[in-house]
Amino acid sequence: MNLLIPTSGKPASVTHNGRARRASTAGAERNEPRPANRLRPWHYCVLAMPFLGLLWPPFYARWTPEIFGIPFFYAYQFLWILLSAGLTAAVYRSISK
Amino acid sequence: MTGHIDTVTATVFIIVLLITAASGLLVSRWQSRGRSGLDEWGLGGRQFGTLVTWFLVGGDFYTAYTIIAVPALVFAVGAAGFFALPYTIIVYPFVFATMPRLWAVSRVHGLVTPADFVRLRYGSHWLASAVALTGIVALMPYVALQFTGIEVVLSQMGITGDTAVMRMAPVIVAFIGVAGFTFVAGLRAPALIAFAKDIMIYIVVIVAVLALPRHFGGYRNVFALAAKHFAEQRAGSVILQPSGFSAYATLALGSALAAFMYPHTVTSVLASSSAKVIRKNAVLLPAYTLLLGLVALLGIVGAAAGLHLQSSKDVIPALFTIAFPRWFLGFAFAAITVAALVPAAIMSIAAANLFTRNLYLEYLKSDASSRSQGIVAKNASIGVNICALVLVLMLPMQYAINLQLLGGVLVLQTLPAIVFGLWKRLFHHQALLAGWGISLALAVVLLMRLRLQSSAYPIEIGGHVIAVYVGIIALVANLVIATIGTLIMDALQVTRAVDGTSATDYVD
Repeated sequence: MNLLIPTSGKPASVTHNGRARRASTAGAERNEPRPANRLRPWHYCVLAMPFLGLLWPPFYARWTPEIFGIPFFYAYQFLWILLSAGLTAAVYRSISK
Repeated sequence: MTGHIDTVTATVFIIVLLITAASGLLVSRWQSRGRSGLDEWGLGGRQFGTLVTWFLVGGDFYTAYTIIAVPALVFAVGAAGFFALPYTIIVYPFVFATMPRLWAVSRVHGLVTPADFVRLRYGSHWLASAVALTGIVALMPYVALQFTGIEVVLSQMGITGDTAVMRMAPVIVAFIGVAGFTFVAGLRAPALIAFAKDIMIYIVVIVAVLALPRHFGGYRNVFALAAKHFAEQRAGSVILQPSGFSAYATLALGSALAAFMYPHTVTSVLASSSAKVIRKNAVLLPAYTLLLGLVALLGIVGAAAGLHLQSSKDVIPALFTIAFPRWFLGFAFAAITVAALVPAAIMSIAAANLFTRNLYLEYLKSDASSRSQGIVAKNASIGVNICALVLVLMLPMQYAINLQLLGGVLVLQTLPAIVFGLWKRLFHHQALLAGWGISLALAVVLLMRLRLQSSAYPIEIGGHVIAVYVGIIALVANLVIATIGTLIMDALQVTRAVDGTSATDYVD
């Protein structure tokens, strides 16, 4: 039918564009994913924090306190840009060790 | 303003455009080493590093339409239009969690499109075709809208005409440009022009944000003036009102989840050289969110200025005309125009990749080589651009906006197949197909009942009526159907097709 579907359940070692990555070394890795770069449950919790902080507008839809003359509604969301990038960076550092 | 063309503005505009286009084409042969094939044309050889990817994703995510439409919405309704900010904040943790997995499995198996992944994971060409068609349908009006961005700029510059053809002539020229450089250079051309585009946009926005509030006595005063304007208008508000909470939150969530279901954003993700590049970018891309937030604030500035506009879409060009000297106005308008050309090119490449991989290769010629796939995709990109051109020329601008709204809702319905599949084959492919079909129908019905004037549908929960983004309503229905359908299919022992991937393919 289509080359995308290998006949066995194993990953195709030769693909459309001819890349044969992992063809020989895959055996050792296949059963045991390397632990590096894997997200643990607490990583997901950290990544979920911006969702909690921003998706409940009653928490921040207010004019006061103003921050540098900017109503809280705007200042709070702008602050989350930095906060969210910081949290993502923390997870990045944690899994890149 | 209309009917009079300022020569200084127009000259700078044309010169900046020509320099950008020429330099983009000249350097687009960079590092291609004469290779050909779909990986080369459609994914830039999968070798973009952190910097190029940053500009590329920024280039196709923050489009001319965004720069025009977000402030326009804020100008018209105030705080409710600001959902673009939480949307573009939460999208990056989502990208961090999901996209490295999609990249890894795509790299191992040489996948080019999100539908390729669905095909391999679930072994269903029907499901893959559904994902591919949804992507193409969602992209068409999006490409078309980029050209309405150019149209807005041109009309502000005084380039108008008595007939549609005369008004549209510059848009047609822009189309030929996009189609041409996409055909020749593939993804490399927009990747490189994105550098110029984003640097120009950053300069323009920073100058605007610094210069404009001084006209109105500083930001503190701007918010007070805007509040007065909204009160007089009896529409909109500077602070989000409780009646708008649910729509605000669900629009932010739904848009964030849909953003990387769009095939063109996936294209720029898959073009990166490693999963690490994608993670780094999830940390670094919020810089663009800051830019978008500042652009959105210009809508508040427009309200503070009490601008009286025929259409709220004119708010950015109108503000620029107030704040900028004539030569810089030409530069700013050129920046917006380039900001339309770059995403239009990436979108047409993504749609061409979908056509080639998931329709041509699937149903017409399953033994096509990478080289001939590349040729098919090149030609398909021309077809995509022609379709978008027809859409722009035939339909009033409002239709393109409505269709884009619909496209976002539809593309979100491919999430259960794509994202859930990155972890587990939880759902049966037949159930996913049913969820996709029914949620699409539901979304269309709800949007029609809203006459496409709004994307938040009022639903009753526990005696309260709350407005919820149609995309989220349909997604919930989609997931419920996929879950129940899976239970039924597995109980009936309907066989699942072979999974072409293994657990290790998803870890880089």
